[in-house]
Amino acid sequence: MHLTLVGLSHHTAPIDVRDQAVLTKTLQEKALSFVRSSSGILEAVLLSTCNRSEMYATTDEEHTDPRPIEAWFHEIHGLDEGVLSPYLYHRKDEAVIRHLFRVVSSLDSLVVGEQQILGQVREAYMQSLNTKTTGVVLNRLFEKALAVGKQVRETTEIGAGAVSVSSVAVELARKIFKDLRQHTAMLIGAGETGERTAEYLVDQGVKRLIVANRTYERAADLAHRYDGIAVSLHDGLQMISDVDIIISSTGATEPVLGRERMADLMHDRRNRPIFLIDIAAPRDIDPRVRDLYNVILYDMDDLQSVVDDNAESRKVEARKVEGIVESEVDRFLAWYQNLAITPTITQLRHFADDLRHQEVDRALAQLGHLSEKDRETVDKMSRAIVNKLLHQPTVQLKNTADPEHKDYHLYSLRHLFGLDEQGNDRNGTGNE
Amino acid sequence: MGTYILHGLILAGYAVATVIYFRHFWTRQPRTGFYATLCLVLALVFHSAFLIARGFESSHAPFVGLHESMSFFAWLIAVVYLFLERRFHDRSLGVFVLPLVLAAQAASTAFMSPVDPLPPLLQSPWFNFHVTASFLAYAAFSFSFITGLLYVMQMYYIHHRRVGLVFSRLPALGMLDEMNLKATLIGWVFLSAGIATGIWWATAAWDSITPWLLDPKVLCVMLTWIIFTSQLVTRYTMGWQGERSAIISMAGFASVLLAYLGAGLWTNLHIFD
Repeated sequence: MHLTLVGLSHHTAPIDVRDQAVLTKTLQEKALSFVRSSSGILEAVLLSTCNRSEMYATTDEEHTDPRPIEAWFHEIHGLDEGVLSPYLYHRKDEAVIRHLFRVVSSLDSLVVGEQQILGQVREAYMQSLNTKTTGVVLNRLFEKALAVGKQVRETTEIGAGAVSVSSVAVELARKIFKDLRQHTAMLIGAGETGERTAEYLVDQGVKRLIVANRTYERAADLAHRYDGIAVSLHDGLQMISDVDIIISSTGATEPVLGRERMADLMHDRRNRPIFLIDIAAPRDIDPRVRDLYNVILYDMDDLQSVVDDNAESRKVEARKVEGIVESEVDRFLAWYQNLAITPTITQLRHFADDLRHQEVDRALAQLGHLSEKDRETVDKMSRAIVNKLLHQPTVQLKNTADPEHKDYHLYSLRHLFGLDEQGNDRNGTGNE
Repeated sequence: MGTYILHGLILAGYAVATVIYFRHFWTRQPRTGFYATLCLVLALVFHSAFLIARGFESSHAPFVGLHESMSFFAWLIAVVYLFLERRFHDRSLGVFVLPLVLAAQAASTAFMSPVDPLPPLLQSPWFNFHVTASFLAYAAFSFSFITGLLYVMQMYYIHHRRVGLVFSRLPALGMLDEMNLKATLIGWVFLSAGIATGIWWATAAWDSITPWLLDPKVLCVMLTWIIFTSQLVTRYTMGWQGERSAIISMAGFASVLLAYLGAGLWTNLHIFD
């Protein structure tokens, strides 16, 4: 039995190729039923995220060639044979284990340390469990992978510190205010980063979002999207004394908020803390407002420097995570390699037992005068010989630590006893 | 001999708890957090046993003299902290509170003294009330100090764009500000009650007001009361919430230390509390 992986990700494929290879839920179900009906593939799990489409499978000895899976990858998406081939990667056995453990630890992600992948792997595994396309090996592999993913997040700082400008801004807001549900935010102007920050704030349950824009229609459109209130820019600036978080990203050339104005506003607010996020270029807010009591201002450079610091510390943590992954791969391998031995030993035992039965039956047929007790003794003796004969090789095989030696022994055993020949494979490499 | 062992156990308990709280602060492992709390609870069990035993032995409440009052102070802070930890499901304050508990308990052990009979002056029903109120105030002000200090730290990190590991572990500014205010309010009420009973008691014990009004400890306590009152007044009238409020509460706690430790060295009235 062998572990096989065929897939593509942001490391190998550009976005338009990845879009073509997405395994949607309906496709996944189809795919899993295809896998079940195809010969040679014993188990399969499909993992699909926005950045990767992968198939984890176990195959029997005769079907280790990944090409059928590759062909299936094309077929399922209605693509011509070979279109995806330059972007697909193949892994086998140990490399599959390592790959999955790295994926689930987010080491293979576009943003190292991201959280979602753990849930996505769990979902992929659950779906395969439901469609009953997993068995001993993949069950164990995915259970272990999920445990590794959890351990990595609990024992390292791989996911600590936001690594995008908008999420840093929201993380700061959460460290400034006790409970965002009691605070109102205002988005002034438009722009991708500003909008995303506003969106995150709404996700975090901010009490109210006010959208102010020079053109009211634009404000109304954004407000509608994020369940906020639209106002004109002029009205928005009048409302600041009631707002605790301001995201400013207008295209104005002159500062929208000067120091004098801010000082007056702080007086009106009775010095309640305010968090100003200025992501406009040129800047919307006079940097001198920093001197005012309880005014916290972060501009684009400030946010970017936090992003850089966090990315740097994630890199340091990633090295720790690699260490954890390696030791878990070793532990899993120890189990996995023994698994290959188990079916061989079972097969060998059946082979020996069949011979014993034949010979005992033949002998007893000629020894009709024996009593029931004597017949039992003969049967017992034959069992004892088989057991004693097979005991030592079995133990030796199990105890061989070096994987290469193990493979060699396995090969010799199967070859010398003819275990792979016709008529001897009825207890072959099936699932246990 | 038994007393020494008990003191050793209490100190060891707090010391180990402090170490585990620090470890939990860095690793954030739930299991470590559980052991930290477990260790603190064990130390508190020993500590409570000591205070009860001491109370029975001396047949008065166990806060007479530096040895007892320091220990009682440590116990009170630990209990209040444990309550807050359970209430807010947050152990991050532990690394700041536990060293204080450990220091107070270590000081208590250093000042270990045999049981004194209660001096005649203190044999009054006012004594327990006066001292209990004062100590509750001190414990509350300790939390004002710690939350105030953390507020200033957190604000420093935010203003200087150093939002790293320590920043991420500490509570939000708004949370610290709220805890600081609540601690100050509670402390202020108890301190006022302590002062009121003190005045009532003193006027009953002495004919004139000069011997006790000029007592250094009384003066320091008055200063403490003025500082914390000003924290509340500036907050409500001038909107001095946040950092300024935090700094005033830290000054107030310095005044508490002065009242409790410093004044004890040259006072003649308050030598027993």
